[in-house]
Amino acid sequence: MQQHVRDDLSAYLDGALAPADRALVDDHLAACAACRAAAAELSATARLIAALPRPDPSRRLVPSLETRFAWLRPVRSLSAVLAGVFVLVFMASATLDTGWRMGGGRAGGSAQTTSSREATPAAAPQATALERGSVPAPAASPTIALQEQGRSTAFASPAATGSGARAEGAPAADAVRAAPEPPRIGPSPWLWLGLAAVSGILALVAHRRLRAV
Amino acid sequence: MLAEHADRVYAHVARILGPGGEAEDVVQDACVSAWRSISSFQGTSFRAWLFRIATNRAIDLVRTRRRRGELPLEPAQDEVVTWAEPVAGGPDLGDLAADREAVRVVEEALGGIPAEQRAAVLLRDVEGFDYEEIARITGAEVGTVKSRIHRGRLAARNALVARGWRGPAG
Repeated sequence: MQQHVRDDLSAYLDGALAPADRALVDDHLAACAACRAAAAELSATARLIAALPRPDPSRRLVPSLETRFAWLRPVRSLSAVLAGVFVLVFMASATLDTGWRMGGGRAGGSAQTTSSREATPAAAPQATALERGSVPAPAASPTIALQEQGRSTAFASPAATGSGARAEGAPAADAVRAAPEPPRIGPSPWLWLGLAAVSGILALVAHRRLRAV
Repeated sequence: MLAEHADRVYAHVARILGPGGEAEDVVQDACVSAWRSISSFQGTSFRAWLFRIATNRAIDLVRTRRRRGELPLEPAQDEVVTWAEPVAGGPDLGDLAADREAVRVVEEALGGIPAEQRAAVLLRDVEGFDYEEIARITGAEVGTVKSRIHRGRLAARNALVARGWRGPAG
Protein backbone atom coordinates (compact mmCIF):
# COMPACT_ATOMS: atom_id res chain seq x y z
CA MET A 1 0.00 0.00 0.00
CA GLN A 2 2.79 2.39 0.92
CA GLN A 3 4.68 1.86 -2.38
CA HIS A 4 1.46 2.32 -4.33
CA VAL A 5 0.84 5.66 -2.70
CA ARG A 6 4.40 6.79 -3.38
CA ASP A 7 4.00 6.03 -7.07
CA ASP A 8 0.91 8.20 -7.14
CA LEU A 9 2.40 11.12 -5.24
CA SER A 10 3.43 13.20 -8.26
CA ALA A 11 0.01 12.88 -9.84
CA TYR A 12 -1.53 13.62 -6.45
CA LEU A 13 0.51 16.81 -6.12
CA ASP A 14 -0.46 17.83 -9.65
CA GLY A 15 -4.18 17.23 -9.06
CA ALA A 16 -4.18 14.58 -11.78
CA LEU A 17 -5.71 11.72 -9.78
CA ALA A 18 -9.27 10.55 -10.07
CA PRO A 19 -11.37 11.55 -7.02
CA ALA A 20 -11.45 8.00 -5.65
CA ASP A 21 -7.65 7.61 -5.94
CA ARG A 22 -7.14 11.03 -4.45
CA ALA A 23 -9.26 10.07 -1.46
CA LEU A 24 -7.15 6.93 -0.97
CA VAL A 25 -3.93 8.94 -1.00
CA ASP A 26 -5.43 11.51 1.37
CA ASP A 27 -6.34 8.76 3.82
CA HIS A 28 -2.91 7.20 3.56
CA LEU A 29 -1.03 10.46 4.01
CA ALA A 30 -3.06 11.23 7.10
CA ALA A 31 -1.70 8.10 8.68
CA CYS A 32 1.83 7.81 7.19
CA ALA A 33 4.52 10.32 8.11
CA ALA A 34 7.05 8.76 5.70
CA CYS A 35 4.77 9.27 2.73
CA ARG A 36 4.00 12.82 3.84
CA ALA A 37 7.74 13.46 3.86
CA ALA A 38 8.07 11.86 0.41
CA ALA A 39 5.29 14.10 -0.92
CA ALA A 40 7.01 17.16 0.53
CA GLU A 41 10.30 16.13 -1.08
CA LEU A 42 8.71 15.68 -4.49
CA SER A 43 6.96 19.00 -4.16
CA ALA A 44 10.22 20.72 -3.31
CA THR A 45 11.95 19.00 -6.22
CA ALA A 46 9.21 20.14 -8.60
CA ARG A 47 9.67 23.72 -7.38
CA LEU A 48 13.39 23.40 -7.96
CA ILE A 49 12.87 22.13 -11.49
CA ALA A 50 10.49 25.03 -12.14
CA ALA A 51 13.23 27.42 -10.98
CA LEU A 52 15.82 26.13 -13.44
CA PRO A 53 17.52 29.02 -15.24
CA ARG A 54 16.14 29.71 -18.65
CA PRO A 55 18.67 29.44 -21.45
CA ASP A 56 18.32 32.15 -24.07
CA PRO A 57 19.01 31.68 -27.76
CA SER A 58 22.02 33.42 -29.23
CA ARG A 59 19.96 34.67 -32.16
CA ARG A 60 16.39 35.59 -32.95
CA LEU A 61 14.57 32.49 -34.04
CA VAL A 62 11.80 34.01 -36.15
CA PRO A 63 13.12 37.24 -37.71
CA SER A 64 13.64 35.61 -41.07
CA LEU A 65 9.94 34.79 -41.17
CA GLU A 66 8.97 38.35 -40.30
CA THR A 67 11.04 39.86 -43.08
CA ARG A 68 10.43 37.10 -45.58
CA PHE A 69 6.69 37.51 -45.40
CA ALA A 70 6.44 41.27 -44.93
CA TRP A 71 4.87 41.49 -48.38
CA LEU A 72 1.82 39.74 -46.97
CA ARG A 73 0.78 42.86 -45.06
CA PRO A 74 -0.20 44.93 -48.13
CA VAL A 75 -1.73 41.80 -49.67
CA ARG A 76 -3.90 41.37 -46.60
CA SER A 77 -5.02 45.03 -46.58
CA LEU A 78 -5.69 45.16 -50.31
CA SER A 79 -7.60 41.87 -50.30
CA ALA A 80 -9.77 43.00 -47.41
CA VAL A 81 -10.60 46.29 -49.12
CA LEU A 82 -11.30 44.54 -52.41
CA ALA A 83 -13.55 42.03 -50.69
CA GLY A 84 -15.61 44.88 -49.27
CA VAL A 85 -15.76 46.69 -52.60
CA PHE A 86 -16.82 43.54 -54.42
CA VAL A 87 -19.56 42.90 -51.88
CA LEU A 88 -20.93 46.41 -52.45
CA VAL A 89 -20.73 45.99 -56.22
CA PHE A 90 -22.46 42.65 -55.89
CA MET A 91 -25.30 44.17 -53.89
CA ALA A 92 -25.75 47.02 -56.34
CA SER A 93 -25.54 44.71 -59.32
CA ALA A 94 -27.96 42.22 -57.78
CA THR A 95 -30.45 45.00 -57.06
CA LEU A 96 -30.32 46.25 -60.64
CA ASP A 97 -30.50 42.73 -61.99
CA THR A 98 -33.53 41.90 -59.87
CA GLY A 99 -35.30 45.01 -61.11
CA TRP A 100 -34.42 44.12 -64.64
CA ARG A 101 -35.81 40.60 -64.27
CA MET A 102 -39.01 41.71 -62.61
CA GLY A 103 -39.51 44.31 -65.32
CA GLY A 104 -39.17 41.50 -67.70
CA GLY A 105 -39.97 42.98 -67.60
CA ARG A 106 -41.47 46.12 -66.36
CA ALA A 107 -38.31 47.97 -65.53
CA GLY A 108 -36.88 47.65 -69.04
CA GLY A 109 -40.30 47.76 -70.71
CA SER A 110 -41.42 50.93 -69.03
CA ALA A 111 -38.14 52.56 -69.89
CA GLN A 112 -38.68 51.61 -73.47
CA THR A 113 -42.23 52.85 -73.36
CA THR A 114 -41.10 56.15 -71.99
CA SER A 115 -38.65 56.64 -74.78
CA SER A 116 -41.29 55.72 -77.32
CA ARG A 117 -43.62 58.27 -75.87
CA GLU A 118 -41.03 60.93 -76.06
CA ALA A 119 -40.18 60.01 -79.59
CA THR A 120 -43.78 60.04 -80.84
CA PRO A 121 -45.81 62.24 -78.58
CA ALA A 122 -48.75 62.13 -80.92
CA ALA A 123 -48.97 58.41 -80.68
CA ALA A 124 -48.38 58.22 -76.96
CA PRO A 125 -51.93 58.41 -75.69
CA GLN A 126 -52.91 55.87 -78.21
CA ALA A 127 -50.14 53.54 -77.31
CA THR A 128 -50.89 53.81 -73.63
CA ALA A 129 -54.50 53.22 -74.22
CA LEU A 130 -53.77 50.23 -76.37
CA GLU A 131 -51.50 48.84 -73.73
CA ARG A 132 -54.23 49.05 -71.19
CA GLY A 133 -56.75 47.78 -73.70
CA SER A 134 -59.30 50.15 -72.29
CA VAL A 135 -59.76 52.65 -75.03
CA PRO A 136 -63.39 53.42 -75.43
CA ALA A 137 -63.55 53.09 -79.17
CA PRO A 138 -66.49 53.32 -81.45
CA ALA A 139 -67.97 49.94 -82.07
CA ALA A 140 -67.57 50.45 -85.76
CA SER A 141 -63.84 50.80 -85.50
CA PRO A 142 -62.34 47.78 -87.15
CA THR A 143 -58.99 48.53 -85.65
CA ILE A 144 -60.19 48.06 -82.13
CA ALA A 145 -62.06 44.96 -83.09
CA LEU A 146 -58.92 43.56 -84.56
CA GLN A 147 -57.00 44.66 -81.51
CA GLU A 148 -59.08 42.45 -79.38
CA GLN A 149 -58.58 39.55 -81.72
CA GLY A 150 -54.94 40.03 -82.14
CA ARG A 151 -52.67 42.96 -82.43
CA SER A 152 -50.66 41.67 -85.31
CA THR A 153 -53.69 41.63 -87.52
CA ALA A 154 -54.45 45.18 -86.69
CA PHE A 155 -50.95 46.34 -87.50
CA ALA A 156 -50.83 44.27 -90.64
CA SER A 157 -53.43 46.44 -92.29
CA PRO A 158 -53.28 49.93 -90.90
CA ALA A 159 -54.41 51.46 -94.15
CA ALA A 160 -57.58 49.45 -94.11
CA THR A 161 -58.74 50.93 -90.85
CA GLY A 162 -59.58 54.24 -92.29
CA SER A 163 -58.38 55.90 -89.10
CA GLY A 164 -55.07 57.57 -89.63
CA ALA A 165 -54.49 58.62 -86.03
CA ARG A 166 -55.09 55.17 -84.65
CA ALA A 167 -52.95 53.56 -87.32
CA GLU A 168 -50.14 55.91 -86.36
CA GLY A 169 -50.21 54.98 -82.72
CA ALA A 170 -50.53 51.27 -83.13
CA PRO A 171 -47.04 50.55 -84.45
CA ALA A 172 -45.56 52.55 -81.57
CA ALA A 173 -47.38 50.39 -79.08
CA ASP A 174 -46.26 47.31 -80.91
CA ALA A 175 -42.69 48.49 -80.74
CA VAL A 176 -43.06 48.63 -77.01
CA ARG A 177 -44.42 45.12 -76.75
CA ALA A 178 -42.26 43.46 -79.38
CA ALA A 179 -39.00 45.10 -78.29
CA PRO A 180 -36.40 42.47 -77.32
CA GLU A 181 -35.38 42.31 -73.69
CA PRO A 182 -32.76 44.95 -73.07
CA PRO A 183 -29.28 43.47 -72.91
CA ARG A 184 -27.85 43.05 -69.40
CA ILE A 185 -25.40 45.78 -68.61
CA GLY A 186 -22.18 44.45 -67.11
CA PRO A 187 -21.35 40.94 -65.90
CA SER A 188 -23.53 38.75 -63.71
CA PRO A 189 -23.78 39.77 -60.04
CA TRP A 190 -22.49 36.35 -59.07
CA LEU A 191 -19.17 37.23 -60.61
CA TRP A 192 -18.80 40.06 -58.06
CA LEU A 193 -19.79 37.76 -55.24
CA GLY A 194 -17.22 35.22 -56.39
CA LEU A 195 -14.54 37.89 -56.53
CA ALA A 196 -15.54 39.05 -53.05
CA ALA A 197 -15.23 35.49 -51.74
CA VAL A 198 -11.82 35.00 -53.35
CA SER A 199 -10.55 38.32 -51.97
CA GLY A 200 -11.93 37.53 -48.53
CA ILE A 201 -10.27 34.12 -48.46
CA LEU A 202 -6.99 35.65 -49.60
CA ALA A 203 -7.18 38.28 -46.85
CA LEU A 204 -7.97 35.60 -44.26
CA VAL A 205 -5.10 33.36 -45.28
CA ALA A 206 -2.67 36.29 -45.28
CA HIS A 207 -3.97 37.36 -41.86
CA ARG A 208 -3.51 33.90 -40.35
CA ARG A 209 0.00 33.61 -41.75
CA LEU A 210 0.96 37.03 -40.41
CA ARG A 211 -0.54 36.26 -37.02
CA ALA A 212 1.50 33.10 -36.84
CA VAL A 213 4.69 35.11 -37.33
CA MET B 1 2.47 34.57 -32.09
CA LEU B 2 5.53 32.55 -33.00
CA ALA B 3 7.81 35.26 -31.73
CA GLU B 4 6.00 35.21 -28.37
CA HIS B 5 6.63 31.52 -27.84
CA ALA B 6 9.88 30.88 -29.68
CA ASP B 7 12.20 31.77 -26.80
CA ARG B 8 10.30 29.60 -24.31
CA VAL B 9 10.27 26.74 -26.76
CA TYR B 10 13.99 27.24 -27.22
CA ALA B 11 14.57 27.03 -23.46
CA HIS B 12 12.60 23.79 -23.37
CA VAL B 13 14.46 22.27 -26.32
CA ALA B 14 17.81 23.44 -24.95
CA ARG B 15 17.12 21.55 -21.72
CA ILE B 16 16.50 18.41 -23.75
CA LEU B 17 19.30 18.75 -26.32
CA GLY B 18 21.66 21.11 -24.57
CA PRO B 19 21.92 24.81 -25.43
CA GLY B 20 23.41 25.94 -28.70
CA GLY B 21 22.99 25.97 -32.42
CA GLU B 22 21.34 22.57 -32.66
CA ALA B 23 18.52 23.55 -30.29
CA GLU B 24 18.13 26.84 -32.13
CA ASP B 25 17.88 25.03 -35.45
CA VAL B 26 15.23 22.70 -34.03
CA VAL B 27 13.13 25.63 -32.82
CA GLN B 28 13.58 27.56 -36.04
CA ASP B 29 12.55 24.50 -38.07
CA ALA B 30 9.56 24.00 -35.77
CA CYS B 31 8.55 27.65 -36.26
CA VAL B 32 8.77 27.37 -40.04
CA SER B 33 6.88 24.08 -39.96
CA ALA B 34 4.16 25.54 -37.73
CA TRP B 35 3.93 28.63 -39.91
CA ARG B 36 3.59 26.62 -43.09
CA SER B 37 0.82 24.43 -41.70
CA ILE B 38 -0.99 27.12 -39.72
CA SER B 39 -4.01 26.83 -41.99
CA SER B 40 -4.47 23.19 -40.98
CA PHE B 41 -4.12 23.90 -37.25
CA GLN B 42 -7.32 22.72 -35.58
CA GLY B 43 -6.38 22.64 -31.90
CA THR B 44 -7.18 25.16 -29.23
CA SER B 45 -3.64 25.94 -28.10
CA PHE B 46 -1.12 27.19 -30.61
CA ARG B 47 1.50 27.13 -27.85
CA ALA B 48 0.91 23.42 -27.16
CA TRP B 49 1.05 22.73 -30.87
CA LEU B 50 4.38 24.50 -31.21
CA PHE B 51 5.77 22.65 -28.20
CA ARG B 52 4.62 19.38 -29.72
CA ILE B 53 6.45 19.98 -32.97
CA ALA B 54 9.64 21.12 -31.23
CA THR B 55 9.59 18.46 -28.50
CA ASN B 56 9.17 15.61 -30.95
CA ARG B 57 11.95 16.93 -33.15
CA ALA B 58 14.25 17.27 -30.14
CA ILE B 59 13.49 13.75 -28.88
CA ASP B 60 14.04 12.33 -32.38
CA LEU B 61 17.39 14.09 -32.47
CA VAL B 62 18.39 12.68 -29.08
CA ARG B 63 17.54 9.18 -30.27
CA THR B 64 19.54 9.67 -33.45
CA ARG B 65 22.55 10.90 -31.51
CA ARG B 66 22.31 7.95 -29.15
CA ARG B 67 22.13 5.50 -32.05
CA ARG B 68 25.24 7.06 -33.54
CA GLY B 69 26.99 6.73 -30.20
CA GLU B 70 27.30 10.52 -29.78
CA LEU B 71 25.42 10.26 -26.48
CA PRO B 72 25.56 7.55 -23.83
CA LEU B 73 22.66 5.13 -23.76
CA GLU B 74 19.76 6.16 -21.58
CA PRO B 75 18.49 3.98 -18.78
CA ALA B 76 15.43 1.95 -19.75
CA GLN B 77 12.22 3.85 -19.15
CA ASP B 78 10.71 1.04 -17.13
CA GLU B 79 13.76 0.70 -14.92
CA VAL B 80 12.72 0.67 -11.28
CA VAL B 81 13.65 3.90 -9.54
CA THR B 82 13.93 3.51 -5.79
CA TRP B 83 13.67 6.18 -3.17
CA ALA B 84 17.14 7.06 -1.91
CA GLU B 85 17.18 7.53 1.84
CA PRO B 86 18.31 11.00 2.90
CA VAL B 87 21.09 11.31 5.40
CA ALA B 88 20.85 13.66 8.32
CA GLY B 89 22.92 16.81 8.44
CA GLY B 90 22.37 18.36 5.00
CA PRO B 91 20.11 21.30 4.23
CA ASP B 92 16.39 20.83 3.86
CA LEU B 93 15.16 20.11 0.33
CA GLY B 94 12.51 22.76 0.70
CA ASP B 95 15.14 25.47 1.16
CA LEU B 96 17.02 24.81 -2.06
CA ALA B 97 15.19 27.02 -4.52
CA ALA B 98 17.86 29.71 -4.44
CA ASP B 99 20.76 27.29 -4.17
CA ARG B 100 22.77 27.34 -7.40
CA GLU B 101 24.47 24.10 -6.53
CA ALA B 102 21.10 22.41 -6.10
CA VAL B 103 19.95 23.76 -9.47
CA ARG B 104 23.06 22.39 -11.12
CA VAL B 105 22.46 19.01 -9.47
CA VAL B 106 18.88 18.98 -10.76
CA GLU B 107 20.04 19.86 -14.28
CA GLU B 108 22.55 17.06 -14.17
CA ALA B 109 19.96 14.63 -12.87
CA LEU B 110 17.51 15.56 -15.61
CA GLY B 111 20.29 15.18 -18.16
CA GLY B 112 20.76 11.58 -17.10
CA ILE B 113 17.17 10.39 -17.50
CA PRO B 114 15.49 9.32 -20.75
CA ALA B 115 14.60 12.22 -23.03
CA GLU B 116 10.88 11.36 -22.90
CA GLN B 117 10.91 11.60 -19.08
CA ARG B 118 12.87 14.82 -19.19
CA ALA B 119 10.48 16.35 -21.67
CA ALA B 120 7.44 15.32 -19.59
CA VAL B 121 8.87 16.74 -16.36
CA LEU B 122 9.86 20.00 -18.04
CA LEU B 123 6.49 20.38 -19.74
CA ARG B 124 4.79 19.94 -16.36
CA ASP B 125 7.03 21.75 -13.88
CA VAL B 126 8.47 24.50 -16.10
CA GLU B 127 5.76 25.08 -18.68
CA GLY B 128 2.77 24.19 -16.53
CA PHE B 129 0.94 21.96 -19.02
CA ASP B 130 -1.50 19.50 -17.49
CA TYR B 131 -1.21 15.75 -17.98
CA GLU B 132 -3.71 15.59 -20.85
CA GLU B 133 -1.90 18.36 -22.72
CA ILE B 134 1.45 16.65 -22.18
CA ALA B 135 -0.04 13.42 -23.49
CA ARG B 136 -1.13 15.23 -26.65
CA ILE B 137 2.21 16.99 -27.03
CA THR B 138 4.28 13.84 -26.64
CA GLY B 139 1.84 11.43 -28.27
CA ALA B 140 1.77 9.21 -25.16
CA GLU B 141 -1.00 7.88 -22.95
CA VAL B 142 -1.87 9.87 -19.85
CA GLY B 143 -0.78 6.92 -17.69
CA THR B 144 2.62 6.96 -19.39
CA VAL B 145 2.91 10.70 -18.83
CA LYS B 146 2.11 10.22 -15.17
CA SER B 147 4.81 7.60 -14.84
CA ARG B 148 7.39 9.68 -16.72
CA ILE B 149 6.80 12.77 -14.61
CA HIS B 150 7.04 10.81 -11.39
CA ARG B 151 10.22 9.02 -12.44
CA GLY B 152 11.80 12.23 -13.63
CA ARG B 153 11.10 14.04 -10.36
CA LEU B 154 12.23 11.06 -8.37
CA ALA B 155 15.52 10.95 -10.28
CA ALA B 156 16.11 14.62 -9.53
CA ARG B 157 15.13 14.12 -5.88
CA ASN B 158 17.49 11.14 -5.55
CA ALA B 159 20.35 13.08 -7.12
CA LEU B 160 19.83 15.84 -4.55
CA VAL B 161 19.68 13.36 -1.71
CA ALA B 162 22.87 11.75 -2.98
CA ARG B 163 24.55 15.16 -2.57
CA GLY B 164 23.62 15.28 1.06
CA TRP B 165 20.35 17.15 0.96
CA ARG B 166 17.71 15.85 3.26
CA GLY B 167 13.99 15.80 3.09
CA PRO B 168 11.71 17.79 5.38
CA ALA B 169 11.37 14.77 7.62
CA GLY B 170 15.10 14.10 7.62
